[in-house]
Amino acid sequence: MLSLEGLLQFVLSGLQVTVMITVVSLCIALMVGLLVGCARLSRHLAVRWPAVVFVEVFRGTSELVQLFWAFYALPILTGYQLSPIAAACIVLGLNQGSYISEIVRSAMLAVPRAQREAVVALNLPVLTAFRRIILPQAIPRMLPPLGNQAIDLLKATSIVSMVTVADMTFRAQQIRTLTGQTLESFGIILALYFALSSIIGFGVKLCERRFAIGPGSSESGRSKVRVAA
Amino acid sequence: MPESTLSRRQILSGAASLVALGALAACSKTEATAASGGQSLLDRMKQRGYANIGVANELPYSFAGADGQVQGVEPEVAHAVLKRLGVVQVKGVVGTFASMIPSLQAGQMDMICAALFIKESRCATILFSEPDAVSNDSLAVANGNPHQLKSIKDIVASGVRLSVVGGTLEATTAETAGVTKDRTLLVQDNKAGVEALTAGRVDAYLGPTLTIRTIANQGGPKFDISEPVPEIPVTGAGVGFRKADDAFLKLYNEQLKAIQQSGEFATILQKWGFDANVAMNTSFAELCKTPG
Repeated sequence: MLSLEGLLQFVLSGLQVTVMITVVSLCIALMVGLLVGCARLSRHLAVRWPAVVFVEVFRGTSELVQLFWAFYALPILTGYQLSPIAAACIVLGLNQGSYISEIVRSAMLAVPRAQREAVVALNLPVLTAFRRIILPQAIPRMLPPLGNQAIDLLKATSIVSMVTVADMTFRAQQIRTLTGQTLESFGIILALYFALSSIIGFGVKLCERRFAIGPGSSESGRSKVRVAA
Repeated sequence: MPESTLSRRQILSGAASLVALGALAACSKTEATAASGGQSLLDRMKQRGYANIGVANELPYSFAGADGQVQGVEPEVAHAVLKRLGVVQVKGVVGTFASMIPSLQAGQMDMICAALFIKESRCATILFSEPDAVSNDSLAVANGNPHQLKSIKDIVASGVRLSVVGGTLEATTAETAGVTKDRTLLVQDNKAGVEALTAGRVDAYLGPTLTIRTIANQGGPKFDISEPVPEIPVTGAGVGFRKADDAFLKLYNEQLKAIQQSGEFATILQKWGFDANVAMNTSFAELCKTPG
C-alpha cells in the first residue's frame, strides 16, 4: 500500500510525460494542420490531392491502430524503429493535425472573399497579406474548435500507455497491479486529467480575448492602421 | 487576378507541408537502431551498456517497482545471467502479455522477461531459454467457493463465467477445454481478472497460483484460491528471444546453467516463492509440448 503522498509522487512522474506528449503533439498538429489546411485550398491538383489523401487516411482510421502501426508494424516494414515517445508524438500529431487542417480550412474559407480582393487591389505582398489580413481574421474563428481539439488530444494521450510509454494512465495501471489500490490510482488521474483540460480551456479563453477582432478590440485597430499605411 | 496570388501562397504552403512531412520521415531514421542488423545481440547490448527487457505487471513473475526498477523472478534471473555475459544493466519495457511477442519482433526489446509460459504455439514463433520459473495454475473463486469449482472441467460443467488474461496459456487452455467465448472475459492483466471476480462479473479467475496469492495478500475484497487445477499440471516460463538470436540463446543457456550450479539461481527463486529444484528438473523441450 502506498500513502496518498506516495501515490501522488508516482502519478506525478507520469503527469510530466503526459504534459510533454500533449505539448509536443499539439505543436506538430498545429503545424501539420496549418500546412495541410492551406494545401487543401489550393487550385492545383498536385498540391490539393496529397492533402486530401492525408486527411482522409489519418482521420478515417483509428488513432490506436495508427499508434500500434508506428510501434509494431513500421520496424518490421522498414527495419527502423521509433522510440515509443517519438512514435506517440508523431502519431498523435499527425492524427490531430488532420482534424485541425479541416478547422483551418473552414476558417480560411469563412474570411470574406472581398477581403482577398482588397488585398490584391492594395498590391500587398502575398505573405504580408496572409499574415496581416487573412490569418488575423481566420484565427478568431479557429480558436473555439481548436480548444476542443487540444482537450481531445490531451485525453487521447492516454492511449500511449498501450505502447509502453509511462504516462499518467500507465502509472495508474502500475500502482493498481503493484498495490491493488484501484480506486485511489484511477481517482487521482481522473482529477488530474480534468485539471489539465481546465488549464487548456482557460488558455484558449485567453487566446480568444487576445485575437478577438471587432469593435473595441485593439488588434483590429492596429491592423487597420497597418493596412492604411 | 486574386486567384493567382492566392494559389501562389497555396503552392508555397503545399511545398512546405511536403518538406515538413519529409522531415518527419527523416526523424524516424535518425532515431532508429537496426532491429536485426548484422551485429550480434550481445554486441549491440554491450555497446548500448544495457539490455531492454520486456516485463509485464505480474507479481511475483515480473514487474516494474515503484522506483521504476524491474523486479520479479524472471528479470532477476535474466539479470544475473546477463551480468555474467558482460551486460551490467537492464531496463524494463513494461507492456501487456498480448504485446510481448509483437514488441520483441518489432525490435522494441532485446528479450522477453515477462515470464511467458513456454507452449507449443509460442515455440513456433520465438526461442525460449531453459525454464526458470516453474509453477502451476489455480482458480480464484468467490468466498466459500459456492459453485464448488476445482478445475476447468467444473467451470465447463457448471456453466459459470471465467476471466483470464488475453493472450496467455490460461486463455487458450480454457478455450480448448470448452469454456465458450460468451462465458469468458478476457482482461488486460491479472489484477483486472481478480477484480472481475470480486466485482461479481465472473465466477472464477484462472491464473498462476503464486500471482493469485500475491493479489490476495495485497488486501481488498476477500476471495478463495483453489488447489492447482489438473488441466495445467505445470507452467514453465522462460526468457523469450527472436529466432535470429539463436547464437545468443546458446550463451544464455550456458550461463543459466552456471548460476543454477552456483546456487545463485536458487536464492533468487526462493526470494519470490518458487522452487528451484522443480525448475531445474523441467526442460524446455518437454514444456514446448504444452498445447495451446
